[in-house]
Amino acid sequence: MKLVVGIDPGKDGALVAIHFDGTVRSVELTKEKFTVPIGKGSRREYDAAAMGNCLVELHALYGVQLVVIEKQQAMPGQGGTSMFSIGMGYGLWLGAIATLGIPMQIVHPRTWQKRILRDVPGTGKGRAILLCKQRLPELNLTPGRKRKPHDGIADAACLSMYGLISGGHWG
Amino acid sequence: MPAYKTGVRGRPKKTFAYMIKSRRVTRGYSQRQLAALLGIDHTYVSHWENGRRCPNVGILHDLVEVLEYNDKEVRWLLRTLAEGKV
Repeated sequence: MKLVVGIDPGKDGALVAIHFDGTVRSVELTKEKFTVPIGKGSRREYDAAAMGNCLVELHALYGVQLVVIEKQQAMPGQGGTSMFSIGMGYGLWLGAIATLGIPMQIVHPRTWQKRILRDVPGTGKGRAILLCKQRLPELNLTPGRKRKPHDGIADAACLSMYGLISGGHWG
Repeated sequence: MPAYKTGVRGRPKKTFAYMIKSRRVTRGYSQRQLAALLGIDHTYVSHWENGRRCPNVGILHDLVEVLEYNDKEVRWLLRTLAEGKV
C-alpha cells in the first residue's frame, strides 16, 4: 500500500494520486474521465463505472493506502440543481471508495487549507497552485490545451499531500 | 466454451484463471506457497485457477506484487475480469 489519492469532487474537480516517494502517479480530470456528455450543449453526467474502475486500477497497481476527499456542503445562495449535482458526485465517490474497502478521510476545506497552505502567500485558489508548483514540479497543472492552471488538480494534489503528511509519510 | 485459443489441457488462454496459473508456475510457486504469501487459504488459489471465483481488489494488489505483473498486464487482468473472462 503505497499511494495516497486526493479527490476534489465536483464536475470541475480532479483526482491526483501521489506515491509515498513523492512522485505523482495519476492525474485525472473529472470533466474528461468521470463524466459523459448528455444531449446537446455542455451538460454532462457522472460516470459511476469510470470512477470505480479508476480506483480499482490504482488499487491493483499500487495499493491505495488512503483516499482523502474534500467535504462538500450546501452553500447559502447556491441553486438546488447545482447542489444536487455536487452532492451526487460526492456520494458516488464515497460509495465507490466504501465498496472497494479503501480507507478514506473526509476533510473540510478549511482544515486542509489551514494545514497545507499555512505559509503560502497569496489568496484563494492561487495558493494551492503555487504550492503544487513548488512541491510537485512534475505535476502538470495545464493538461491538454489548457493555458490556465487547473485549480481542481491543485486542490486534489493538496488533499493528497495532506493525506501523506497526516500519515507521516511526507514532511 | 468461448472461441479463445486454448492452452494446456484445453484451458482458455485469454482468461484470468489461465494468466494466474501460468504466471504462478513460471515463478515456481505451488498453490500453497502462493496462498501463504498472500495470507489466504490455498483453496482460494485453486478456485481462481479453475475460474470459479476471482480475488477482491485488496488481494489483487498483493497478487500483482507477488507474481510481479507489470502495469500493462495488470490492466489486461482487470479488463478480463470486467469482461467476465474469469
